[in-house]
Amino acid sequence: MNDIKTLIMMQLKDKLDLGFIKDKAQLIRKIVFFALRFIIVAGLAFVLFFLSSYLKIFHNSPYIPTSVMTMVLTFILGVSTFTCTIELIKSLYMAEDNQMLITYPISANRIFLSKIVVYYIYEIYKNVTFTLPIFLAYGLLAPVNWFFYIWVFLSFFFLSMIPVVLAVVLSIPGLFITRFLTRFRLAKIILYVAILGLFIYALVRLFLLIPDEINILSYWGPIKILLTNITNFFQHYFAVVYALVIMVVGKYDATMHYSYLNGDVWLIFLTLLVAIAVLFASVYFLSRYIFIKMTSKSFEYEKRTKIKVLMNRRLPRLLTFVLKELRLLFRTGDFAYNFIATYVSIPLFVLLINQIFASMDLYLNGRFIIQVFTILIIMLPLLSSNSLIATMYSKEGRTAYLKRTKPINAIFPLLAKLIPNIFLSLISLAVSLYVFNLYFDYLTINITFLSLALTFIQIGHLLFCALIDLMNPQNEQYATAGERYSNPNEIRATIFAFAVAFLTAFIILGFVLEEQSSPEKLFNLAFLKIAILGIIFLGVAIYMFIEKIKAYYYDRIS
Amino acid sequence: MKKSVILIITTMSLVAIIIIGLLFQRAEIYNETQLVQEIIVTNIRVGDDMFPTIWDSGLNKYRIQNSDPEKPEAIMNLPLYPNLTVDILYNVLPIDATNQSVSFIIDVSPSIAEVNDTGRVTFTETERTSASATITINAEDNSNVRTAVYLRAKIPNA
Repeated sequence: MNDIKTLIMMQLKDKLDLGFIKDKAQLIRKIVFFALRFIIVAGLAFVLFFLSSYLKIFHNSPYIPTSVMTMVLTFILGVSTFTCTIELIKSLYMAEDNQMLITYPISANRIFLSKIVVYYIYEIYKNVTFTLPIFLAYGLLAPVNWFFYIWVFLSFFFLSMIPVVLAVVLSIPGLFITRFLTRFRLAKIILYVAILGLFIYALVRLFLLIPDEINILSYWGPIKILLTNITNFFQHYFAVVYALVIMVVGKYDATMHYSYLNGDVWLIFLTLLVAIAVLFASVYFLSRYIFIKMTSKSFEYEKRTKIKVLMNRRLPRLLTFVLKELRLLFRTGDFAYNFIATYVSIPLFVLLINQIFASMDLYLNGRFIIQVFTILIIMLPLLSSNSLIATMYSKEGRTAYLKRTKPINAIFPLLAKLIPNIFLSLISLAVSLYVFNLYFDYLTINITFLSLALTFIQIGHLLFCALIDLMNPQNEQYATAGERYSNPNEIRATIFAFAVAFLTAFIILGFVLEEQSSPEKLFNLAFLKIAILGIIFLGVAIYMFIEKIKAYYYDRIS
Repeated sequence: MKKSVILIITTMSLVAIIIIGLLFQRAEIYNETQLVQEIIVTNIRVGDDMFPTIWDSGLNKYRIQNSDPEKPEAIMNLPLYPNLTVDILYNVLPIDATNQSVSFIIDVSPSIAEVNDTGRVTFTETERTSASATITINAEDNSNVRTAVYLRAKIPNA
């Protein structure tokens, strides 16, 4: 057993960073943060449940039915199973440490088992910090038995097994799908684009369903009926999850109390144990076989990329480096996902916020405020996403110093690294402003000036973020600690993003209020002033970027 | 982008919607009172179990729909346990009625059954093998609209 324990501890250290255990101060800090997180989640859940019962949202009754918890647990288990499957596909079959682990004097079966146990422990950790406080908050308001406060802790050890075992089952087809998509890149791109397109389309349709006039008081009755029907749907169609909720909180009996003195509760518990055991045993033999096959497979000759012969063309210097950056982005893709998610979500968020505000009948000052608030909502995520730019050069690790050896000005490779982000973020900004203008109907000249101002601010901020990285490089930390390193430049860039976004919003508000004219009807001088400020901001950023490159790469100060 | 940033932006937006809605929304003047026209009893809830109700024109009241398809006319008995508690689930029509409050009145003594102001009925009967009660639901907006629901509980196999 000791060998499995050692393996589990080794892998847990990687997953949960257990370095704090040996440091007393860090341990206390971790415990305090853990307790705080637990209390915050439980407190928020309690407030929501209390409000629901106070407003008699469900079933017109001040008591929260079990169906609500069924709905909550369905979402939690669904998300857990999905993330666990994705992670287990990587960890079980594709992890690089498999080749190292298999050289240890331990059977492959035990390595396989240790990996599953690691995910089980991680699932318990997630449940204790999120699901358990929600159930405890529910228990404080529901007529539960005293035994609940003991049983809820124990039952979560069994409940946490469900997503892990399901993930082990799903990881088998998941592996084949992943391998297929890795092999056929075009299919992968088409699938991802199709999913993204469908997701965006569904969200837009959903947002447009928001009625023209929101009056919660008038529609309070139907809203309550709808919410009750939704929870009943979950209780009816997710009967397995409902049974799990009964197992945890007890059966709601005819005296309107949760009781464990009921055959159903313990029958469900036994069924769960048997189901998990049978499922795990059956999948263990199949999955273990694939695991052993995958780990013992040689990786040296795995690459079957056909080498294409390309003519060596002379391209402009900047374009050469831009193409290199694009190739790097498409090769891994991991870095791009974060940006794409942000850039796609900004216009969608602008649509949602404005659709909500459009349903309110506001005074003129209120209209000014929401215009400025929308600009803030565009700029905050856009500029915050630039915080990753403040890590880009450092993430190159020791290879970054190669730039100094190239017989060209360092500005070309440094600037080229920013071009894909500048390009994508400006598309996102343009779409966001288009959505913005659908609601506020600005005069073309006004929206043009506003667009220019925000474009200049975005590019300027992006250059400043790059500068933060240039002036305080963290290459050595990335070279030794890898991607997990927490970069202080990223935090600085985020704070700077908030400052710039709020300052932009306040200046725009000041200018717009100063004009006191309707911006959708007349030429508004406010937007010209904002554009000029944007140009100044960008100008300073470009000047600083060039000067700092001279100073840091060529030891020249002008 | 960090998760904390997403959380801050989302929270800020929610707060902004509430504040802007409260401070800058034009006041709506109601000059028409929508009176309650109908009260519909949809379900009777016992524990987590839902029992759909039907309008019995013979009784002139709502009652629990019999789950036995061969005896749709027969009145269904709830299993009588000590302190059997049931919730009356109802809807008030029209959905935009100005005052949707209702009150509940029970036609039996507290030693048989009681109803509270949310429509929760508790059978307190302990001596007999069965108990029944009619609960009248009154609209509180002077519309004079009311409806009634008939409940009967019996000790199983008694």
